Amino acid sequence: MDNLLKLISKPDNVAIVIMLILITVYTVWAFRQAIANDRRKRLGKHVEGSDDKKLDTWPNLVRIEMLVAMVVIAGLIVWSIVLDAPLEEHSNPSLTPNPAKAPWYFLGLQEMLVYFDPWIAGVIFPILIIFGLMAIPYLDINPKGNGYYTFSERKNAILIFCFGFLVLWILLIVIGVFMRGPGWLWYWPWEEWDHNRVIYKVNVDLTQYFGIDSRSLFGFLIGGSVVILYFGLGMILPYYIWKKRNSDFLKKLGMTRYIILSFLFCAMIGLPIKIILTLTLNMKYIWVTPWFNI
Amino acid sequence: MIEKIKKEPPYALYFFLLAVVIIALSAWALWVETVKLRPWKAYQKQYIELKSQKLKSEYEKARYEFQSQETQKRYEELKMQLKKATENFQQPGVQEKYKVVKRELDLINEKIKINKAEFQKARGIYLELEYLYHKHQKEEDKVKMAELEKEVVILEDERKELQKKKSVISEELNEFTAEEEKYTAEIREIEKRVEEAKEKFEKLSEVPFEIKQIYINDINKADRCESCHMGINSSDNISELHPFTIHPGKSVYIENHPPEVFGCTMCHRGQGRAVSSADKAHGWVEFWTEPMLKGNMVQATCQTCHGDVQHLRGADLLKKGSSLIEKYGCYDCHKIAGYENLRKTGPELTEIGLKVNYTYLVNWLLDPKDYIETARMPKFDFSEEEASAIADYLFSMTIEHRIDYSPGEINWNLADKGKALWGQSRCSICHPTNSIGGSFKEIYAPDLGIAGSKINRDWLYNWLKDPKSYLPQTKMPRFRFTDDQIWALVEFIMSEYIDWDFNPQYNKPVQLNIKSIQKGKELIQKYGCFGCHEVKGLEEMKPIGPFLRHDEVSYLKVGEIESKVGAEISSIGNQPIERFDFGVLEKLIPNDRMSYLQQKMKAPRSFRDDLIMPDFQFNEEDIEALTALLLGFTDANVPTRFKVPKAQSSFELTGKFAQIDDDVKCLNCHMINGKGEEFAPDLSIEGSKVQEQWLREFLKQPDIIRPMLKQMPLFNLDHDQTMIQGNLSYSEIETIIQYFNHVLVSNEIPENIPDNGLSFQEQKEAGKTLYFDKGCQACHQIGIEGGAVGPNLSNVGNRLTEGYIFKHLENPRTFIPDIVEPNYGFNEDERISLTRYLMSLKNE
Repeated sequence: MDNLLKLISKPDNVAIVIMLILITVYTVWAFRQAIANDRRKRLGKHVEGSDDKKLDTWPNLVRIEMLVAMVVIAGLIVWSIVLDAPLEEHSNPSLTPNPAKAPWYFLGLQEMLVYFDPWIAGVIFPILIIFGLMAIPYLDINPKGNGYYTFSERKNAILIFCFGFLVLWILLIVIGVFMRGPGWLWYWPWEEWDHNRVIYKVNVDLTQYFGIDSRSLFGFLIGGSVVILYFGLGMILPYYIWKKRNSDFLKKLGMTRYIILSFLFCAMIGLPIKIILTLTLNMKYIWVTPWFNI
Repeated sequence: MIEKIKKEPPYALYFFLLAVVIIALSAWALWVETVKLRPWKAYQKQYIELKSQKLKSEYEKARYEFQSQETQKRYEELKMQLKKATENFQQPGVQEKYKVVKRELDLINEKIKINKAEFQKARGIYLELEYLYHKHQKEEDKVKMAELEKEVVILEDERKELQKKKSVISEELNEFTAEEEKYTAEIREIEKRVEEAKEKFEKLSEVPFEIKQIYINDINKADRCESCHMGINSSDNISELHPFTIHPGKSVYIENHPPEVFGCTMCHRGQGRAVSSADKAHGWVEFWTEPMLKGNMVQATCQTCHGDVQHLRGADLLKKGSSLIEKYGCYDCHKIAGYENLRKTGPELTEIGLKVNYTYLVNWLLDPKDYIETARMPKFDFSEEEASAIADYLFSMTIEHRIDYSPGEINWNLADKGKALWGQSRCSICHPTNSIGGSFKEIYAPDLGIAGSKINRDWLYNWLKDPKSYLPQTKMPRFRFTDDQIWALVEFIMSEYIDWDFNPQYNKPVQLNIKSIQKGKELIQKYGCFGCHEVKGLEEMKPIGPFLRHDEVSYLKVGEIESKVGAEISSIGNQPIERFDFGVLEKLIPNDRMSYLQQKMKAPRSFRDDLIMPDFQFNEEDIEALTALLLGFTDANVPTRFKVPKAQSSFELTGKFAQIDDDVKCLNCHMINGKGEEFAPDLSIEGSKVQEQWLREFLKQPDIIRPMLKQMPLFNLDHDQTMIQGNLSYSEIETIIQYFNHVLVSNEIPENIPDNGLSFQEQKEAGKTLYFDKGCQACHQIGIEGGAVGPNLSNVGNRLTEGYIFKHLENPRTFIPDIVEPNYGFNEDERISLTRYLMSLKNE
């Protein structure tokens, strides 16, 4: 527990602690509002913001934004005076610090490196995240939920967002900050870091379970087909199911949007699948190619 | 359709309050930036205040002195005198005379001017003619040139005449105004004192507030220490208070290491660039690997540049620490740069079964210091069983020729002879007995207080006969006793130095258990006994086995694991503190380097259970000295211009003299060209220093020059005491003398001293007077009178060469750098006289 207190009180981690508190407060608050609104709707009562009534941006919004900016400036001044930049030991090229951690906002990416090839975790995923976020307004065809909180009307969108943001981003940061110790080994918050701890573990590639060299052509083909199969099934199967049920949603979405959406969704779900495979089956890579590994 | 709904309130109060808060915070930020993060400003202000107080008081003192009755009286007097002198000068008669002389001077000046002009003209024409002559070769030009040359000579003479006249007249003229000028100067002198003090005081207000920085380019060091420690390098002390006080020990530290060249942190460590708080500047913050060293500990850093700490002024701790390292042989187990390739500290153990008895060995292993106070061997905390296991293993190496330990009948007659021999051979110079004696501390010789209960009789005989046959590297000289003498000494030691509590378990051969032997070997391997001792059968163990990886310091490099038991400590002084394993003490002692080192030396195994370093039972002073030394073991790389490497002596003894030295170990006590010890006089120039005949007699029979416990042992016992035996044979003495006369000579020492014209008797008398005038007798003894600090001079005329005395008196430190004798700065005459007097001092 000492260790956790030390971690929390470190000047580096103040930002993370603040972030955790803010995210919890806002998430809880948003859900409470949404549930309350949903109940009102069920009872046939008016939900504020769901009608077409509008307010001028100037001065109503700008004034509040100005106030918030002032609060933030005051907070930053106090913060910058009270806490000095946390310096560590002299840099020494022959002796890197252990654990060597990225800035806190990158720790989610660094945590992904445990499970993925740097090319995937460091390049492909960040690109997918950025482009995926940019694509959201164009993929979202549900007009409801503008100007008021709701859960029942945007169930899927909210759940996917919560999973992608809270679990795959925030949780990974928290793990990276608080649960990773020397050697990037897992430590529970109540455990002391032990620099001499050793864990013997060998990760193997998928095809090696069957005695096939993952670097051979055969292994390459098997691995590749598994990955392609995953994306193929993940994208085609729901299409057929929806098609069969004659889903309105699918019709509204259209083919292009469906392909993009389903690809991004499969990629997102692929991340925890790989994490689980690595943790349970010591899976190293599914598909080994000369250029990248998945 | 857009429908307006109720408006947000204007929040005027919030805006106002927040604006106030932000303004207040900005003011706070400004205060932090200008005052809190710049504490040196306050120090500078305080320093300047202190200084101005001091200068002000000095100014006031000067003014007070100026206004004092005495000064004022003198001042007025001088003024009066000046007035009188001026009046005198102004008198018509004087003035007229003055004017006449002045006119004369003007006239001469005029003449000199004309002369100069003519001279220049002549030279100009001459140069022109010379040119023309070279071009046209006209004879008439040459004639003219000759005329001009004559003219020039005349002009020059004339000018010299005029100059002479001018100086005479000038002097005459000066006499008129001399008095006036004298008084003016004196008045000025009195006024100046006050004015200068005033100026100093007033100028102080112009001193700017600023960070004072010393920047050393090639090592990129920026030391801003003087921003607060403003008075550290000033000539007079403004205040005793920190941080304004002057640097202590200025003559040793500051004068030899000017801050402009060395900075501050090179010696003191700390964070020279930091100025935002005292703790930060001193480096007393987390992660700063070189915090400022307090007090005497600062000596640690002398080692960064100075290779030889044994002869370093102002570094007593290091000197002590370095001696301790050599005494206890830290380098046997730890790799320490600068202490490589030294001989192993402990004796060879291969034949220990022949040397000591079993019970003694077990007791010794349990706690050496408890057994013999001066023991160097540390305590390993063996259990009784472990100690006997090791003893079993060691005895198993000599099991074939086991010997009887039963004490024999003592021949007291023989023992008495041995006692006399013990004294004559000066055994107690090196060997203490029950902590008495052993004045020569630089060489470790075992305490023989209980040797009689430890040593085997036959072994002792063989040892005294030829120490090298048992221990080739021993420092013990071979005294070349006869067999009778040796038996006498053995008898004396065995009968005199006995441990009365000693209860030998085995008088007969020991029964050794195979399992126990095996266990003993394992223990020897584990604790690395072969680090200090040569153990036959364990040479192959030197590349240390796996137990090293349990060692507490984990930064050993792979290559270094092979050769030493302990961790490398060459750079322990600046290894990051994170790499020290505090183990179970992590929360009990401060986690800094000094605490670690002190704890390690106090209780080496207190950090973890599996540590193997033994307990040397150091006392507080030892620990302090060793800590200072260890703190200075760094891998800091300073430019060569700072380095003062240890003078490497490449001198080797040669020829037959080397063989003699090998036998009687001259270099145990004497030093020759940097080799050897400093217990006895340096022999580097002995050939030029002493007279051959004296040397011959001395080697035959060393007489008393120095106090009792520093006398040379009687290697040669051929006078009429107890036994007759020549140790150094006549041919050996001649060899030594030959060697001294040919090799150990100095070109600086003249064979004869110069003659100053006085008769021998006069010189001698003058020398004698000088001898007593200068108080030489306070330290030196002649006959039965005088002090005992310096050597006895009763027979110096037979001992030293006159050239040496003459040269030595010029500056005693030429030949003996750390001699006590002051340099009196005798002139040549005095030195000749003194030398003559000293050379006349001869024992008949």
